[in-house]
Amino acid sequence: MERAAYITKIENILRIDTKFYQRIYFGQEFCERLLPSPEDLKRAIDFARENKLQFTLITPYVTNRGLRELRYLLDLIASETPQNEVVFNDYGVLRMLKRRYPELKPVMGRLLNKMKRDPRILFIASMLPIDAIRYFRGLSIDNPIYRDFLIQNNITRIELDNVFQGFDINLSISGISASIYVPYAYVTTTRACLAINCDVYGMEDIVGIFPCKRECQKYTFYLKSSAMPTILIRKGNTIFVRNEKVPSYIDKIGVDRIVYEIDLI
Amino acid sequence: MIRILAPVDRVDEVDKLIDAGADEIYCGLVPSEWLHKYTAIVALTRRPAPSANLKSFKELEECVEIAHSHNAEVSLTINEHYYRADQYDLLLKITEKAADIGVDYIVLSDLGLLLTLRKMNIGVKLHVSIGGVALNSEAIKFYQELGVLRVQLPRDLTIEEIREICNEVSGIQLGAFILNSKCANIDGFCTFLHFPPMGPLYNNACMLSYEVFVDSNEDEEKKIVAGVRQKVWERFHIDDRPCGACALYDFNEMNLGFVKIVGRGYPTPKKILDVTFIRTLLNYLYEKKPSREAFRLFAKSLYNRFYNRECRVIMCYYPEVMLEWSEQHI
Repeated sequence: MERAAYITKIENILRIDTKFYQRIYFGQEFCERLLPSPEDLKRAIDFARENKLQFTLITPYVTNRGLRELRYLLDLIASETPQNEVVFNDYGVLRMLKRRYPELKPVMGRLLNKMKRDPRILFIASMLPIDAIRYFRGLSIDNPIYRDFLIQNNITRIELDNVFQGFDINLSISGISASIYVPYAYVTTTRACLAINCDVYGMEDIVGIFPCKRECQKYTFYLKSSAMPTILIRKGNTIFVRNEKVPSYIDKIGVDRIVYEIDLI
Repeated sequence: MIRILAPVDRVDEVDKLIDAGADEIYCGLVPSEWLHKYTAIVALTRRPAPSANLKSFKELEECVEIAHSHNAEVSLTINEHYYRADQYDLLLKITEKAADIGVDYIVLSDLGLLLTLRKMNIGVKLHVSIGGVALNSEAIKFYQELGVLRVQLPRDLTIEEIREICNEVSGIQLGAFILNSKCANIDGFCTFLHFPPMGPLYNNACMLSYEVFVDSNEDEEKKIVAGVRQKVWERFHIDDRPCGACALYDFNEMNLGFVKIVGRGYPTPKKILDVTFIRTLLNYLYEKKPSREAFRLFAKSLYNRFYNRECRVIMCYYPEVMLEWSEQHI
């Protein structure tokens, strides 16, 4: 089982135990405003190279503006370390990778597998028929037409969250392998970020896609409700839940990499 | 001309909504076979409640007949974010039957379903719903290359971001939401469950009441304000007449193909009111050819009159319009 360390901020690179991990994930999945600079990306690539670690660039969903900024990073990684992995969480990014950077290896990000992460599945599981349980533990890529599409597009790895309900999949016979992220599973995300101006009195209801001062880097919110079996963590524009318990059977279903999240957003 | 897509969940609504000004209708259908096998918790469409869906293929056939007699097209939503392979027997039965009945578009999110229907070539047009999360022009082109004729843009774009996309793509119809249900999250990336009505604990997760704890090195006063702000989430998705009508002026400039009124499951009078509101605005736009500012003033006053509410940033689809407006007028 390969172990990867996932950081979103370059200052956390020194927290990576280079003896424990074989790979670095660096980048951003949830906000194009937090994309790393080309200089930070270069530092991360150099660190990986110096420590003989594999490297994966992770990218977010993007607007046209984000696509333009992403090109600086993709130009850099394509010139520095062609054939490296790039995780895409946006089919527009996949199209750009295919057309402009065919040497890079696309990996389908966890936002695109669409498994339900609502922790309330734990409350209702015992009430559900077996077909419903199987649905919540499954993926759409068990559709062979979808799987063939991925393989034809050189996508042989998908990223998974460590969902509470577990998995009822078997990728090992499909030519596709998977990574699983721990300890945080993303649940939902928005562009109307509630961190923007969050500490300015009188701005509570001014919610929209507005300029920010990266307030997300200063605040983390924990949301507790009797309707939820676990606390929700809001970091910036995204809600996460924490689930450290990795199922014992993951190697049998095609998971061959664990991605340890060192920081969040 | 921008087309109005209106929601239908009962046959008798079709005539009424077309008379009110809808150009097309869209609807869902959840067969009893699906409910028996999966329950409504495993959604077939993004509005799983029985009240938001037609009950039978006979009803769908009647809707299609009535709509086509008015030259209005019909879209059927099969737009849950993903389906497993073992659900395809039933999914394909539904789509093939819908095609036989004469449904014009299937509205879908799941790439697997899109690829499957494309391969089957069942003679129905493909419309990617917001669940397809097309936030940029490359994503639109991605879907276009797969044979998609329509893409519903997510709620999560500003007017200028939509304009930029419209400028960079051609040969595909784009649409935007215009009324109701201002979801707090990016629909296609939201993995919370939409439960059928099951009691308050099973409301949409963003509508539940939360105790908020703040972790920050900022001072206490700021932390309190920041914590209070997070509670706005609970008020965001409540359908207190969210609206994006001011943007119609810009959408017309961009040659946007259609606007979609959210509302499967809403009472018929509300649907008629919504269609009438948007049709009145489009008629005003096409006939009077107002300036942007005049149009927005008209839209704002009409909204106040129709819904007996002031415009509010939190209920505005494109709040940058409201902030521009207040900067000019305060």
